[in-house]
Amino acid sequence: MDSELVPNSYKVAVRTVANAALSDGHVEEKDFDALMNAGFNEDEIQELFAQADLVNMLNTIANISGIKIDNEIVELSYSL
Amino acid sequence: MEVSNPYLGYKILFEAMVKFSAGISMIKNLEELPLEINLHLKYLINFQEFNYYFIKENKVDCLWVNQTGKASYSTCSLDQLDAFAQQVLESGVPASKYCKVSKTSIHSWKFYNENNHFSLLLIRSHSDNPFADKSIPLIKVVNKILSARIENLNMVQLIHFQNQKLARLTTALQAKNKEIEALNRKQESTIIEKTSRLKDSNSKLKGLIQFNSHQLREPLTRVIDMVAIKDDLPVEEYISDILPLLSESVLDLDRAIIEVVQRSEVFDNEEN
Repeated sequence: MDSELVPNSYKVAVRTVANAALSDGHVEEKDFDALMNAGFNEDEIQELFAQADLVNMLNTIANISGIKIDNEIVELSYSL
Repeated sequence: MEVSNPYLGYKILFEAMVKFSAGISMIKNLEELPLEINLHLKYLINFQEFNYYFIKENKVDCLWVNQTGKASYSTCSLDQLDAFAQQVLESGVPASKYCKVSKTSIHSWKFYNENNHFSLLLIRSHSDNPFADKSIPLIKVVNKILSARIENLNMVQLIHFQNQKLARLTTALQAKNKEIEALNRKQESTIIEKTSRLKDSNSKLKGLIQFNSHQLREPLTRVIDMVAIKDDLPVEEYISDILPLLSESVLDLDRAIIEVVQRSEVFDNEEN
């Protein structure tokens, strides 16, 4: 994710959504501002947090069920 | 523990480019194109403003996209482009310039496309979020996708206009055909009417000829025969017996001639 190939808006989106999904859903006003500044409109932000919400829910189910998180997610969480 | 994937950046870009390409190919008219670019471009490159000019002879299709979500489509002529764009257009060499006041840089490229059309791409980016040199190869792909789509949409528009023109011409042709058909019908009815009148005239003429043959010939024959026997009879007998008959025959001939004249006059009046 630190690659220069990936544009900042993409990094901001992934960072914010991953934070919302993996860090017990701590989302602040500055997260929304960061997304707006990166060029995302309200509909896109809503969609991004819907994704975070879905991942959060799936993680909760996975935790309860004892399913391990797959490597790509683990990799993302470390690269943020 | 840190896990790194050296190809993750490429995977992300590939996915973003596929979505960009798919989104652009779904566009049905040029006015929607900037909105679609705006939706996908932020996943491909860092930019503040994106300008794309598709140049076809002197007509320029201008697409403008802003990072804040604004986008527009317009057309202009070549001489309306700004000085920097004109410079890149004339030289064909990619160029960039930096403005210290606004802390923005502008990168510009000129591309030669198919059918002798070319395009100009300008990207303005802020120093806080600069356009990355590694994104330059993507610009070529973006141009290829956009130029192909604009060319395609222009072609579709042209076909649409030509179809409309053809439809108008077909309607006019159908109207003219109807007029011709009406004229033909009128002409046919005139011909039928004239033929009928001609048949009628012929029939009357035939009647007149028959009348002439019978009514005129009969008293005339009598007169000829009575004149022919003049030398075979004594004068007294000829005067007492034949002359009254000759006189009657001449009167019959006169009546027949009068009738012929009357019938001819009636026939002439009917003809007129």
